[in-house]
Amino acid sequence: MPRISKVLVASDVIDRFKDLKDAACGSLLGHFHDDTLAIVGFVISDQENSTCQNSLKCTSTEIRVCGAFTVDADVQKAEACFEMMSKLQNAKCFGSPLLLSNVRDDIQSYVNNVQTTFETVSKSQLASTFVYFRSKAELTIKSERSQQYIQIAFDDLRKKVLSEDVAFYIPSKNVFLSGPTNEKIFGGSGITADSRVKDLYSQSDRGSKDYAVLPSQVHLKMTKDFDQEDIHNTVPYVRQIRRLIGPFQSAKICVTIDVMTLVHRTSSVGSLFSVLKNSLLHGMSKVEANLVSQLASDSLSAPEIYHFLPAQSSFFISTVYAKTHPDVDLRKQREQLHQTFGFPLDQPLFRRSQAYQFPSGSSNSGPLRNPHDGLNSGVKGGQVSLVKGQYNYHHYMQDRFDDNGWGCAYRSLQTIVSWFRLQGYTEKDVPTHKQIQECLVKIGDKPSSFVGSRQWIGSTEVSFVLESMLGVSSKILTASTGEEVGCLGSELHYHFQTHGTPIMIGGGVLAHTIIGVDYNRSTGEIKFLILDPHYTGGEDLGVITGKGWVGWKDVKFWTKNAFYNLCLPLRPVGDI
Amino acid sequence: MGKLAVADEHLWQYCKQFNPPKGYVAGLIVGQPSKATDYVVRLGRIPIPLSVLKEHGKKPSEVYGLSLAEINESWVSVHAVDVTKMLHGGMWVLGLFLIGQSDPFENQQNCSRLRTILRHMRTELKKIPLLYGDSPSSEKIVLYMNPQKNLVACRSIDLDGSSMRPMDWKFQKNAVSWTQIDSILDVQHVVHLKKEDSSKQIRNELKMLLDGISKQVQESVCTLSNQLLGPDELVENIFKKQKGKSGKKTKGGGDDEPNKNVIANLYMPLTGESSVKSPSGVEVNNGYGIFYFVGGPVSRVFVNQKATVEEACQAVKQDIIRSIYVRLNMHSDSLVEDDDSGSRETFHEPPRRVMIKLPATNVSVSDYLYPGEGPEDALNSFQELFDLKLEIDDVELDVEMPAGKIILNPC
Repeated sequence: MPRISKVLVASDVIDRFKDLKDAACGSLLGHFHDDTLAIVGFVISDQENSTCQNSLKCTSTEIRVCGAFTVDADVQKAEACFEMMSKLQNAKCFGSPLLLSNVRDDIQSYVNNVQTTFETVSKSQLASTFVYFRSKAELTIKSERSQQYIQIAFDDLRKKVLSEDVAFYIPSKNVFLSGPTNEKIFGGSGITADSRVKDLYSQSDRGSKDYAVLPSQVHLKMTKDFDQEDIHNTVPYVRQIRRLIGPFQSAKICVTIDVMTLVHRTSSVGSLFSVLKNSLLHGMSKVEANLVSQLASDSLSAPEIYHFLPAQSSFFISTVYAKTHPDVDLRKQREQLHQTFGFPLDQPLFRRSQAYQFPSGSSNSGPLRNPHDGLNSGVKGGQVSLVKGQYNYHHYMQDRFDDNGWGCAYRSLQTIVSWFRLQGYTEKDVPTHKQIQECLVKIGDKPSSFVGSRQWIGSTEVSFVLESMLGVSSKILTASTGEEVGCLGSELHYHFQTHGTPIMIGGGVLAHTIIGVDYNRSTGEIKFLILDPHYTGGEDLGVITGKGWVGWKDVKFWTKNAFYNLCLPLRPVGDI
Repeated sequence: MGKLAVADEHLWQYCKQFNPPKGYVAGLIVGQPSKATDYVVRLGRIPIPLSVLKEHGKKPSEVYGLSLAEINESWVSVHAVDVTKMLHGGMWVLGLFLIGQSDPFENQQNCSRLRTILRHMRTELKKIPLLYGDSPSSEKIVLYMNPQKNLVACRSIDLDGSSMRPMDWKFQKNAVSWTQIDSILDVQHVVHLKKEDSSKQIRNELKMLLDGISKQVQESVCTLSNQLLGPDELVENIFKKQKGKSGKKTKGGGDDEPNKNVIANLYMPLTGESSVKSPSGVEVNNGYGIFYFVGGPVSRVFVNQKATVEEACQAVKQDIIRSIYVRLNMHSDSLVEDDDSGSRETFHEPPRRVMIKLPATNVSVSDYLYPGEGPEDALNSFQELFDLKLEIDDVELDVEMPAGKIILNPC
């Protein structure tokens, strides 16, 4: 039985506990390493235990059921829940479960019937303790188009992985793992089986707030062994089998097994091989299950694995979506994820466009994301409320398109659409100036000569386009002077709290995007976080924040005697 | 002085038997190049084609000298390609030797003629990429011998430039110690046939399979004795490391020579573009048959004592590809439109690899036997290609198991 001397619980878990329904109970998900148990998430039990089981498949293999919780004061309910889970999981659960009761208010915790204490840890603390490996294997499955043959194809692949005819290449330190022992670990920089996982990545990856993700490339052995009893050295021959009873359906399926594995930074490199191998098997069975279930409904497209790390979660959740299934058809699947992992149903979290953006090797030439991160406003006693989630900074001259002097509102609109995209509300691409103009012509707002012109648009046009393209309604606010914009503090605060979308503001000849407000209700002091679309330079964060193209501005920023219109896009609440 | 080429003494004995009063007896130099030294494993006379013999009124297999103008580059090249097909990876035709009375390098015309022959040979060897027929350096060797005067002169001719530099040549005893590297490829491919069968379809599918296998092999990571070593390390270091690891010295065991055999393994990265182009990532077709290409073709290469890991791994990869190419090519040539298409199953057995040991070294060359052929067939073709008569014992027949002996799983 593992001896636990320290229990850590992720702070977001405790936050989500507060929203649990009466009588709710479920399993705690965590990772045990070196006598420390870290709880990173939970799944809520329900009548259909299969949902719960399915959800467990969406986490890393190294995250497992380590205990249970109940909303009630009676810890036995948690214990019962854990026992049921152990049965379902064929005792793959943890030997010394952590049991939590009364989790909505005053959490009581027990290990082996003894009351214990736990520490709350933030996501960034967890990220500095663990890393994720991301193993990828791209292959083409050739099989008859039937459940049976697809299962046979996966069985063959599984056999190879199980017989350890597999290896992982970790480019960060040029390490090649073909087994758990020193002889089978090769690499530069003196990495051996006794090295620690933290030796596998460079210093620069360590300070980050998010999990470090180390790519690992799956290799399959394509040679046979000599030292086995079977005869392996046979002439390659061709065997041709004809289908005399008529043709069969032959399928070639493009498959990417893409799995995340949670590993403690102080684990040994020697232990990695089997951990990565298990993850790979886990990913294979997920992809296989998706194909088999697709065939059951007589469709077939490539299964694609998506990884999500919502802001309010401290572990990756990975799901398989069939390539041709549109997001609208996957609502039920997403709903299950929200419900079992305890995420509210008021905003999307698992849409394709919300998949985690892994830092790519090539330099990203696209627009910057959330350039305002880390900027402080400093209103004394002020309450800061910001845009919720992610957006891209769109400004003049991007996409090799010269709109200097007229395109600022278009750019502000693009920023708003990027928010809706990145939050998963739409799969539509960010529209170009021309597409925006065409949209306004289509709805009858502008004459056809408008398309291709360099005419400005204002807040109302922005709201029309949002309505027409995304089905998003907006609230329009007005201010007759620049000073009056300063009086919109509580309304802007309310907007960011409830909707959290970027606001487009137009006045005089200029349009801007407001992405936050810092407001002191009693003194009336106010600052606005402004994203300025008039920037014409390259995507250089240093320049953009240094020169104030994104930054906190006081009320004097607004032109004194200009008339202002604000477009506040409303988030479609409850649409996941 | 420039580069050095070394060859075993017995090859000098072989060459001494030729002593044409006029013209040259020409042959191919076969061996393994390296940075400082080229290691020669065989010198073998190029047979004069029957048509030429007839023209000259000579008996078949008669050996006589020809002027350089009479030595036709096309039959030299054909022979070079045929010889290369039988060489293990890492071995190449390195150049030509000439035996005669007058030094060819003294005559400008002869020199440019040699260049023409070598260029033609290179072009022909390069025509089949999967053969890896052209040796790594653009410099090819021409060796001139005059046994009567006991004279040996050697030049290295740069085919990309115009230089022709003197080169050292040495005949010596036990010139090289070779390390043998073995591997068995795991071949398991399934192809769904899109049409009713035809030998053309089979041929095309085999070609596509071969291209696929060759790409996989080339991209794969190669381990030697289960170690992944730096490309510039010497293969020899493997044995030093093994000694270090076991920590024991075999004292007085009399076994001074360590086991110089190495096992190579290949790991193929699962990356790359999928052949599936449809937007759904799935391609569904009607299938009229299934075609399995399975087995464990054996690869063996020999590398010299100074070979680097990179050179050894390239040799292994090229051996695998060369060997599969040669046998599938032979097999496709032998495919005829079969009329048993009414039967459920057809079995094709491409030729199987056997090896023939060269004298005075552990290095071997290959031959490929069709089902029903025996060691004497291997010896005959060996004699034709390498001009040497060997005994049946020199043929290693059980390199690969014939497919007929394998019990097939019902499908």
